[in-house]
Amino acid sequence: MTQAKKLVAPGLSEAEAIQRAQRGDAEAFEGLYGLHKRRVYSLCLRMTGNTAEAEDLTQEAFLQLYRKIATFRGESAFSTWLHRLAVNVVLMHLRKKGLPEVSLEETLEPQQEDGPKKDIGARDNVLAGSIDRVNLERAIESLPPGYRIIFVLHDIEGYEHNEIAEMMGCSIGNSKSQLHKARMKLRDLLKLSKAEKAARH
Amino acid sequence: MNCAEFQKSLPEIIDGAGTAEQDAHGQTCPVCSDLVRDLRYIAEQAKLLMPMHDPSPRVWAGIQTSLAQEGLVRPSVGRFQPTVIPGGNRFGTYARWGAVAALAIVAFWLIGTRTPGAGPEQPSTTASDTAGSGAGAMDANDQKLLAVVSQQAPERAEVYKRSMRDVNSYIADARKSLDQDPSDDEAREHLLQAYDQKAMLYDMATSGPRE
Repeated sequence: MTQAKKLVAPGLSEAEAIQRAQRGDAEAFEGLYGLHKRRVYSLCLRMTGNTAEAEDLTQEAFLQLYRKIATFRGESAFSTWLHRLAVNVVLMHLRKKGLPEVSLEETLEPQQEDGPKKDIGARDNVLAGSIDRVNLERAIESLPPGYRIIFVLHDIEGYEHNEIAEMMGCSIGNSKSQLHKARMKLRDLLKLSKAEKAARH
Repeated sequence: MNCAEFQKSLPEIIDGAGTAEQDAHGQTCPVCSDLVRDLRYIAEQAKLLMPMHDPSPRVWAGIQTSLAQEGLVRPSVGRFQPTVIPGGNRFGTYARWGAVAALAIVAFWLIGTRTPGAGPEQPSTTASDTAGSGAGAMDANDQKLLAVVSQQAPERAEVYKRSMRDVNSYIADARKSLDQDPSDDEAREHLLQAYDQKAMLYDMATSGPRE
């Protein structure tokens, strides 16, 4: 983000809003919600691929924020701290659901038919310059959950593999391997979409 | 080195940690070279994705209810009821302003594209991309806004410029999808969201210096 101070409302900086929210000021908290809701919700939506779940998780993340904001000490940027909190809320939810999304162990990897295809010996049109972001969003949405989470955390949200490994309880190598499979799968999906569009015109 | 061996090490190669032998194969094999280029391109494009969706009002209502039920909201600052906030709910106002501005821009765009002779094949006549020279191209209004920002707060100009390009690029992408398939509701929603973001960008830039 910028070095300039962020405002949660005219005359109220984010830092001031945080201090006030830490003292229990509900209006300041509302301001923080307004400033960060879009990013938190987008994260939840991209990780779950489900609007209703994403809304519930956004709600839970901000409830936890209200409960925990007094523990924020400013050691990292507030947005980073909140983001991490939101990621943990989503991962906890997925663990509770008992879905394979949270486990990256090899035994719980997505089925082979969901996986990327090998590309040995076949040359076709390259993607470079041809992806539009609407299609990319769609392709991400249709990734198998195990791939999608790693891709969202690493390539969109900018987490490092060691951070992902820690959050997900897997090895760094596993995180790298899943990311690679996710990108390969995305490439397949985007090429398919490109071919379908070309066939329509 | 053959393609199978090369592709086994793709994650390291994509990260730029390939060996000299792998690099050499990548430079001479068109299939593997395309693959590496595509995967890097996907990773680059993903970094440019912006948060595009707002949660529904149901979320904030749920937060208010839960905090009230848990007794976490202090009675003395019971401003979770937006109607009692002196001076109004600023975020509500922003949201409404943003929605109105977005609608105005979208309406302008719709009128422009429905003018006889100005069909969907003329993207350069749109409000968002009159320059028509690339997805993130800026029109005269954008340039004017950036000039104002540069004068008022030069340190923020670059951020605004980047954000403006991003949002224009989003608009162009969504319009492209919609042009290809006018019944694509998802693309339409993306387009509206993108215009909303652009309106908010204008709002932020014109609401005065942020100290």
